[in-house]
Order: sequence, then structure tokens, then C-alpha cells
Amino acid sequence: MNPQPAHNFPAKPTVLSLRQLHLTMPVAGQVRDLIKGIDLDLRAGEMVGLVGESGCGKSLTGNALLGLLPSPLASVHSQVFVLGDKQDLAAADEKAWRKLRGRHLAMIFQEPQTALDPVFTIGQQMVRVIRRHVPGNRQHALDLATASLADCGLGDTARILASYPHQLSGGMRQRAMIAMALSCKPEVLIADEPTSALDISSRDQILTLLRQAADRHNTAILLISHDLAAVARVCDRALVMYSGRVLESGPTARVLNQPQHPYTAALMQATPRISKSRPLAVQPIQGRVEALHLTLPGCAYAARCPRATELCSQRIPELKVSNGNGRAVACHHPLPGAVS
Amino acid sequence: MNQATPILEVRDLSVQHTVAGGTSHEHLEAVRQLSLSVAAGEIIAVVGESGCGKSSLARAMVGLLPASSGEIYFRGAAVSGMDARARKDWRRDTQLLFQDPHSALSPRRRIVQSLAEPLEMLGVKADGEQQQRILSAIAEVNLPIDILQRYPHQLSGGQKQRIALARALLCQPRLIIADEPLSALDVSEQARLLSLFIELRKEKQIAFVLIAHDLAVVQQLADRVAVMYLGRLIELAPADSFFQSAAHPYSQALLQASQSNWHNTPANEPVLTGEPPSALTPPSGCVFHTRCAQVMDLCNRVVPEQQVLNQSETARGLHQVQCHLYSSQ
Repeated sequence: MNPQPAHNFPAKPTVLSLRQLHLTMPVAGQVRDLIKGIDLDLRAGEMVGLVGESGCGKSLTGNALLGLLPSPLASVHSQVFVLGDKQDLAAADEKAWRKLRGRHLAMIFQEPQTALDPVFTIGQQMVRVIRRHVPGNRQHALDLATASLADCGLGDTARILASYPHQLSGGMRQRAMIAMALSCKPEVLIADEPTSALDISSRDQILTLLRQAADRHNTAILLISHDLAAVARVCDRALVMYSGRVLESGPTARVLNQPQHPYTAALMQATPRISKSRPLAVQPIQGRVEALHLTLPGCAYAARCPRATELCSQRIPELKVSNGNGRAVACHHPLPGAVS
Repeated sequence: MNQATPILEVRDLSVQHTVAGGTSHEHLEAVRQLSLSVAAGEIIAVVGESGCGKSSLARAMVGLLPASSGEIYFRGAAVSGMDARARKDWRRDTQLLFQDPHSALSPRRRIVQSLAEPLEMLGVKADGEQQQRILSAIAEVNLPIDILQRYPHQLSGGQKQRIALARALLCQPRLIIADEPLSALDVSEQARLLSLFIELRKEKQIAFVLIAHDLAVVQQLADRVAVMYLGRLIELAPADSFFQSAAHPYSQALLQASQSNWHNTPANEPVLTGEPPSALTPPSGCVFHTRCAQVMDLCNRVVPEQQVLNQSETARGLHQVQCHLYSSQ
């Protein structure tokens, strides 16, 4: 089963779009912008990678999509359209979110150990989720749970259903978590660092599993990760975030191999890649990430950027469509991003 | 590398854990008859899946876990026969670095207090010399001085890991055993620590045993690669030779699982399916035969012997593998 090549996505319907996500938080008596206006579209069966360093706001964005914002955070003028239905992120109440979560939007987390309830078996937890959203009796829910586990490559379903989370290995727990998330066939799955706590073979298996979910069930998946290699492995498109903004977006292979934003290029140079001969030595990115709540007049990356000029610290570059191919970049001095 | 006495050598080392059962206790052999030596200034990477025994090996190497059989030699002297004084030298010269630096630092102490502690253990009292050594250790890991007065929760993951490294450096170790030191960090912090390791090795001839699962990181650092599966060392090779032509089917699968499609070719099916069998009841014969794509009749009956591959001798040692595919018939 091969994934769809990156180029034929326009045919698929958009299942989720996010318009102008702004998240604010009071800091020392002032309201500060943490997420400074993000647009995002997810199409059915598409995998989109959201990448960036720790503290760039990628998890905040993912949580906002499910209405899971922690209390001092507020969203302003942000809207999310799920299957064409408009939700005002600022106004939607818990009741509206509950109808969406689990049924249409699902999320999986980095550490399934903390996302699963330790005192219930996997079966009890899955049945509960399914019965909340799907009509039918307990047996029907159990059948759906079994099918979903089998679909996620957990063969011994009876044993898994009867197991408590601690009785499973890390890789199996993450599979069970994915099976639970996919059990109601949601249109959108948000996966927040799903492989960072796993070893290399489990990571590989989980990534393949997510890709299969996208291909077979047309699930749209947002993969939030700092692991560029994971994103390169499975995602159709990639969005690079920095300090609450998207700096670059486009088809994964182009964005990562021919970056136009100097920050994307720096991320790639910091990522080790296996090669048969002597590998290129990694280059750490100079300087460090500024706190998310600082409001700078210019590009947030300017202080670390080798291409920065005076203009960069004075005016914020807009995210502009660059050269067809579905690419966009927010930079005053973009790299050529060679055309292959 | 040189032919001088290795910094650390383990010979036929086994480490057992006792697992409490309902009525009886079972023994789990986390490390089984493993031999490995680390030369001065050498970086050896130990790789394998969760549960393969790599952390047990790391802990045994610093004496945090007892060996159930076999011997550990520190600078040529058997650890089991050491008196208290020699043992103290071994513990000082071999430092351990953990995956999660947050749990390695006391949340109630300022960074400077956490750094002073090992010096006090070594008899360096709170005076000018202590301060001098702390300042130079902080400089070595490229952190600003004002960090000394902060608490761990005020630091990022990468900064905490560098503090943990600074604390290890205060003891002027000859060997640092690092158990997944980079896997909790993001790309740019990872790259910073990577370059720091390379620098330390170059300038201070510190040897590293790097427990890792990310082979791309391993290739950046390692002189030699050791692959473990269910407690056994199944392949040991100079890094160049390993990345060019890994011999064991398990090593090949790990390598393939780590390759990413940077050029957007279709993603592969996972090369390693399922999970390793339980270490309580390891398979007969070759422990990998239950998941091996090239399994033969022989594999579930006979334990493969260590083979040295032809023409593999380089300055960095031999390429050894335990697999029937390479047995001399």
C-alpha cells in the first residue's frame, strides 16, 4: 500500500480549515499574542507536518484545534471550519466541542501512558468513547473496538482489550491510543509528537500506521513534531513554525530539500542524516528562541538569521505564495529554493 | 586507536534482574555474556530497541548494577578485586549521563549547589578553587554564568542536559556513559550537544559510551557501533564499515527503519514488525530468528558464534557479527 504522491492533493475535499488563529495570554497585566495569526487547511487523506523547535507554538496550535486551551489562554477572531461547519474558537462552548471531539476530531499525544486511564482496561476505555458517539449496544461498540485494534496491527485483540495500559509496551500503548482515536472514524486526527517517546522500530511502525490511516480511511492528519525525519518520511505537506507564526509551507520534499526560508535551512543543517559515506557534520542553529509572548516589530528569526538586514528587524514579512507548487514563505530575503 | 590498555573493558559480562512472579522469582538475563572494550578517547555507540539491555549494560559499567557473571576491568584492573580507594577512582573517572536531565537535578537546589556537590565529595571545599572549577565547567558547556543562581525548572531541556554534563565534567572523567542523552531534546539542542561531545573528545580525550537509538545521531559521533538484541551483542563494527555494510539482518533492518525519504519516494512498509520476544523466555538458537527475514533451518537450533568478517580490519578494529549467514561452512 503506497501513499499518495504529494502532487495530487487538490482533488480531495478540505475537511478542516483554520483561519487567523490568534492566541493571547495576559503577561504582567498586558495581553500578549502568543500565536500570531495562523491559517491551516487539511484535506481528506492528507498528512501535514507542523515542525519547529520547542516553544514555537506547535502544540498550542494543535490543542486549539480541539478546543483544549488551558485557562489563561484566549483565542481572538479565530475560526475553525470542520467539514464546512463554522466554529468560532473564541465563542464555542464545551458542549459544541464535545460533539466534535472524538467523533470528527481526534488527538493522540506523545506519552500514551498519561493519556490513557490507568485504572480501566483498554476495552473499557474504548467502549466508552465509542458509545458516546455511535448508536448501538455494548456489543456493537466492542466489535468496533476490536476492528479498530486489528486495523492498527494489534493482532491479539482479546488480550489487548482486557489489558490495563501498564501491561502494554510503549509501542503497543501508542497503537492502542491510535486505535481508540480512530475507532469513531474521525475526519481529522491531530498527532502531537506521537513518536518522540518511542524507539526506532516502534517509531517506524507508528509512522507507517498513520500513513495507512490517511490512505485507507481518508483521515486528514496533522503531525506535530520536531523530528524532521519523521515528517519527511510520511507527510505530503510541511509547515515550519517559529515564534507563533508560519515561516514556510509547501510540499514536504521541496520545503525540506530546497528550503526558501533561512530558518528551514538551518533546521535541516541541524538534523543528522544517515549516509553510506561520511555524513555531513550537523550545524547547531546560532542563538536561541525568544519567548513566545515577546512582540517584535520585525521577523522573530532576524536575530539568529545569517541573511538578516535592517529591514528584517523593522517589518514583519508576510507569508506569501512564492512560486506555484503550493509553496509559501515569509521572508524578506528568501533563498532561491532551487527548482529541480 | 592505540593498543594501550583500554579505559574500560567488560568480559563475558552478564547482568540479571529478578522478576517477582506470583509464587516464584524468575531471572531475566538483561545482558548476556557480552564483551566490549573502550579505548581512551573513543566513542562507542550501543544501539538496539527498548528492552534490549543497553541501559542495564550502561549501569553495570558504572557499578550501579552488579554483574551476575563476567568481569569489568577499569584501566586493566578487575573491578571486583578493587579496594575502596581504587573503587572510588573508578566511580570518579566514569560518569553517567541520563536521558532525562530534569530528574537528575534536584528541583530544590540552585544549579550552583548541584554543581558544588560532586566537588565536595572529591574534597574540594567551598572556596576560590571550587568556584573556579564550577565557572570553567559552565564555560565548557557554553552556558552563561547567571544560570548558576537559577533552579532546574527555569532551564530548558537542553540547558539542563548541559548542566548534567558540566557536573560530570567537574570530576574530570576519562569516560562518560551517556544513556540516551539526546533523545528528549529538539533538533537544535541536539545539534548543540552533539558538537559539544565531539569537542570534549578532541580536547580532553574523554571516551564515551553512547546508548542511543537514533542511528543518524550515532553516525555523527561514533567510532564504533555495537548492536544489542535481547541482551546479546550481535554486531560490533567500526562506524564506517557499519554504515556502509551492516552485516546482521537486524542491523540492516534498524538502518532501514532510520532512513527517511528525504526525496518523497513512497514510505516503506515497516521493516521490523512486531516487538522483540520476552527476555524472560528468549528464543532458542539465534535470538533474532523469530523476526528475521533471512531465517534458515539452523537458526532456531544453534546459537551463532562470533564471526570476524573478511578484510574488515581497520585502524578502528574488527567487524564482528553473530549470524549464521556468515558462518564458515
